[in-house]
Amino acid sequence: MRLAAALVCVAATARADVASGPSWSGPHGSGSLDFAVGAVPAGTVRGFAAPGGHADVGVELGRLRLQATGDLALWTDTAMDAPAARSVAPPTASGTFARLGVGARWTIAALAHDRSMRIYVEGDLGRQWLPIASRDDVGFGFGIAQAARLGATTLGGQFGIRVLVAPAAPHDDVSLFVVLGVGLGR
Amino acid sequence: MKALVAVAMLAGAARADALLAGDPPPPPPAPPPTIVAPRPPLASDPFADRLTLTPAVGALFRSGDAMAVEASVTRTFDRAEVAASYSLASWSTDRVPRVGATIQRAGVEARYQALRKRVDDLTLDLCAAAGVGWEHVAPDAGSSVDLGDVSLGAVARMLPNIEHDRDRVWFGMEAELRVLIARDDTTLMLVWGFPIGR
Repeated sequence: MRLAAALVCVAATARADVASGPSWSGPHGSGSLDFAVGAVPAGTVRGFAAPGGHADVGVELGRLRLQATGDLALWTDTAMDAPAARSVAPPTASGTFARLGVGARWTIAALAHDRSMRIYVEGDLGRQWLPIASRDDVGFGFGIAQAARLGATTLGGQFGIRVLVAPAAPHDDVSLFVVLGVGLGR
Repeated sequence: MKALVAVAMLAGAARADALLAGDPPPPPPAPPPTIVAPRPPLASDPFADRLTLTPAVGALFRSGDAMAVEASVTRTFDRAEVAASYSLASWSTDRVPRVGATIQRAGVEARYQALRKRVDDLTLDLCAAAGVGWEHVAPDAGSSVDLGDVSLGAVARMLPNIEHDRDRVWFGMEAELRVLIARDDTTLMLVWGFPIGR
């Protein structure tokens, strides 16, 4: 399951390199593959997602980017780190965190003479799967993406933070991620 | 033809006489009119008055520990700085099983660049910081708690101008060690991120 999901993420990123058109000025495809680390709670169970991967693939229309995102990570109940807690409350089964989402990214500023340094915000709707739950959520993100043109393609990197909010009682479960990776586009 | 040669020789002789006599040279021709306005000169201190945004990741230690993410905006005025930040942390403790919380914090800081070193297009800053903040702590079970805090910290920053002489675009790295002093607890917070801006 993990291998299949990883292959899907990689294939999606490679598939992004299919559109044509100059960077920024016209519709074109792009994608990224990132390293991700996060904190993912589920009710009173606090989990840690690491190591993990984050991938996105999208179509850029000027400042707007329509995108699909995928996440895959090892998820561990943090109570396993606490011997005292483990003796009282056996930890839940650790396993895989996975998420798929669909949303949009908006470039709030494009800096440098070639507008290659971009500051973005993003949001999406998604569904996440944990060993102890599966649930819908809303994602928000903020970060930096840089791209350099190499012939017909662009190659760059990005750094961002992501917040996933899943409804729960008495308070929503808020997951936090940091992503750092490479981007590819045309 | 002979007449033309004679006139040219006379004119050349007259020009030589004028130069020997010390007359000022004729003014240079006027530059062609510009269609695009020239770029305004950079400020006398090219590092002054920066405005940067910073996505950051960090850790928070308060009777337990937490992963944190933070978004902040910083404005500099020579050595003085003002920064506003919003942080989110996922906190849990080893002491009591199944106890955790989501912490939100909004804060404002005044900073002073106590030490700084400029190397070409790069500035290395070390700032002392002090500020105030508001925290919203939402436990996994139970009601939320709001509390204010006072923060003291130190910021280390490496910030180059990646556009060099062409323009001002700052993109670098920054780390802050911050102590949050609240009514019932003291928190140590470490954040690290990439500031970017103009």
